[in-house]
Amino acid sequence: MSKTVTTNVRNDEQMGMIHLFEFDMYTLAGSFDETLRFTDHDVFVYDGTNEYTPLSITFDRLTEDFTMASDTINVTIDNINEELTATALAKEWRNNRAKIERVLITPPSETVDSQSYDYGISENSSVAYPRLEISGLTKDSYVLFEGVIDTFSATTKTFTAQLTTKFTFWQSPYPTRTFNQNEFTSIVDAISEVIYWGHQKTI
Amino acid sequence: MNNITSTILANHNNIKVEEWTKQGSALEFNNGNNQRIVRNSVPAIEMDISYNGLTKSEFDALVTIYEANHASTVIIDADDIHDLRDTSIGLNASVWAFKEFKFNVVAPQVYSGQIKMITSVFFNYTAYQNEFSQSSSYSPVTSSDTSFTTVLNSAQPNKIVFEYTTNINGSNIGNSARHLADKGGLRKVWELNWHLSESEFLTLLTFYRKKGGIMGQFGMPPEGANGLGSGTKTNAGFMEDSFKFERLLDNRYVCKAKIVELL
Repeated sequence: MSKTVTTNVRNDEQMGMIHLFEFDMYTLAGSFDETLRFTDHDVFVYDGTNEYTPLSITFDRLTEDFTMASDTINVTIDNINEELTATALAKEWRNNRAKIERVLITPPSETVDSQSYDYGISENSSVAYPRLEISGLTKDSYVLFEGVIDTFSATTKTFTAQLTTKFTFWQSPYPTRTFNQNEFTSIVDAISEVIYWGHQKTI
Repeated sequence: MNNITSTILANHNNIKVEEWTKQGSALEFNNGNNQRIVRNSVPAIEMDISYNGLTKSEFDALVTIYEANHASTVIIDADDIHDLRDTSIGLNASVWAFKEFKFNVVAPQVYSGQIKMITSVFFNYTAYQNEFSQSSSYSPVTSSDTSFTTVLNSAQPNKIVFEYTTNINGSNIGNSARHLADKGGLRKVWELNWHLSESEFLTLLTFYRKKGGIMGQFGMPPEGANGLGSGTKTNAGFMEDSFKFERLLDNRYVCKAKIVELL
């Protein structure tokens, strides 16, 4: 992941900060299904290619140390109407790509009722509905975090996912996962297929 | 999405407003500059609309729109408070959500109270509305029980406070509401205030002892008292399991009780 930040916006004293979230979803059969895109801005955000849906979404402060063994980060997304739970239970989030991108923009100026405002409401939509289009704006964008979704939990109000950096692959090949009772028999079968009373089955 | 501008802004006597613009948070960078960072730039407005001296029908109009829209965003073109969203974004951007609804009526049948609204960023455009569905339900259970109305004949309240208890799940971005989810269970809450003679008070106290606590239920007129209207009685119970009263020197009693609809 790149952490190069150009200087054009960071020297400014006033800036707008928005975050773009991407979560890859796979079907339970294991094939790619869709990428969910959210933003914590008030209105839709369009980067020239993709549109990000505004949702109440927050995440922990990210900590990273010299070993680069950055641990985990919790992302909390609004789950009103249980829309996300429905998606989460029908598809597979776990072990799939999750990305948080920070975009620093200079909020576009705006004229309302012949009054000009230096910094408008960050809504420069070219479509019928309110949308912030960031492709033409002076901006810095950099990936804040890229990893995989490890576990998630949900209530009727919020959906919380724990994201894990790719570095955790060094220690554990797969994110933690719980197996249900049905799967357990086949796992035991698979083990006893090759392991016999503590030594490798020879026949 | 319903446009409730004319009903909500009719007959009001005062609007208290708080407007948040360019909501942000300070983030520290190493360059030493004084940097201001905006997170949410669409203004959020809370307006507290007061009404005084309303007639029953004017009050009923507000009740009707509240019950029909309590868990949905609504359109209000609040030009009175200079909401510019309809100019800068578009007419479909002047959307609001209910936050509070509280009224009271005193003896000469004069209604006064306030409604608190908060701006919403769940704008009235298909792109937004398709994200989530919104609805507002209110289904009280009717009752033919007359035990409480009989008590109210002698123990007449001198002031009634109307409120609702809701079960809405709400979401917010900055200080604005985003969208709301109706979980059902909107219920009326009445606070009845009495100033009674001893015999009237004893009728009420006896009734409370029979029907107070978690097990009791009875039919409650939607107006909170007899003689204020002819609405269908709904199933209700006392909200608190204690009853406070005060005995005055002239043998009169002052008390109040909260009653909530039971579904």
